[in-house]
Amino acid sequence: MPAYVNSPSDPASRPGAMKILVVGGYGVGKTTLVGAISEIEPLTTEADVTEASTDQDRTAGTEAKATTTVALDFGRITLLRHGLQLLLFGAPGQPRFWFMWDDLATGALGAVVMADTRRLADCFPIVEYCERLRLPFVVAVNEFDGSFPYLAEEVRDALALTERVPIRTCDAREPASVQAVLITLAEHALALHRAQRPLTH
Amino acid sequence: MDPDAGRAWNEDSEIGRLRLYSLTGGRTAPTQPLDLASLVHASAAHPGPLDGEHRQIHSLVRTEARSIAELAGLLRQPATVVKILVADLLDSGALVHATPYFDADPTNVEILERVLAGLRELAL
Repeated sequence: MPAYVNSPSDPASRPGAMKILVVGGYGVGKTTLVGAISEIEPLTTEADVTEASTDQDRTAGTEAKATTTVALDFGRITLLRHGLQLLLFGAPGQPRFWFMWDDLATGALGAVVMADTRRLADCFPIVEYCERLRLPFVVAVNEFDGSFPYLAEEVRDALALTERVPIRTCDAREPASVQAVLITLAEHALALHRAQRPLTH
Repeated sequence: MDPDAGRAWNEDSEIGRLRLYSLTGGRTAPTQPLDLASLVHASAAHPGPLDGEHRQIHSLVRTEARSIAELAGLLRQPATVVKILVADLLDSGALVHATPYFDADPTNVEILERVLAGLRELAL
């Protein structure tokens, strides 16, 4: 019997799970980033997702829905002392995969939007979607060999991001670099939710 | 562990589809709501005899809680199928939901402080 069954007062023994999304265009390094920080061998998870109709003149409550299967990169970080498993989901960012976001984003802490400076336009729809869902996100510029070094402010201008959205460069292969990105995301989410918390006491 | 574990499951075969159908007894929905982040672990009760996939799931969560997403990746089965199988095991009492010490609500400031502290402590 697992030890945790008998120790209900110990957070480590009663873990909860929280999702973090990692999104970006094809080949931007999502799988690499998840693999760099995951404590388990990164897995591929085949998930069914519901596709909401994009029909503009649909009537509320009568949206046509279809189900499709997508492959997600999956990795895990256990914060043992805090009784939490962070579940990392690397998800395709192309517009044709938007439909999966509603499912994935529900209950998620936030998203790491991975940007390749050679193809910044890939990020537009993702950024727009995060903003619409009010999902906290940070932009991580993956520094490839041969990628053009941009200044954060140039990326901010190009993606029309507000001052509040953090932008970081990272090396998706380096655990410490990925850790720094996730810390930035958690700090950002915390700041947003602190600001939104009603001042009742 | 299966050396192929984690490789994407290939649904583009008739055999694959038939196998899925037999795994779930033709069912297409779990008996209780589960999502990719649902965590389960083995209960203290002896599970009784289990067939292949149910036994695999049970043994994977004997010493630690795992999410539906992780189990699906390890078993190389679609999450939908794993949800059905996990729900069977929850119904029979062989598995239980990991009931977290606190509600893992991502908008809760106290939880986010824990996440942040945990990420900073992470020794890589």
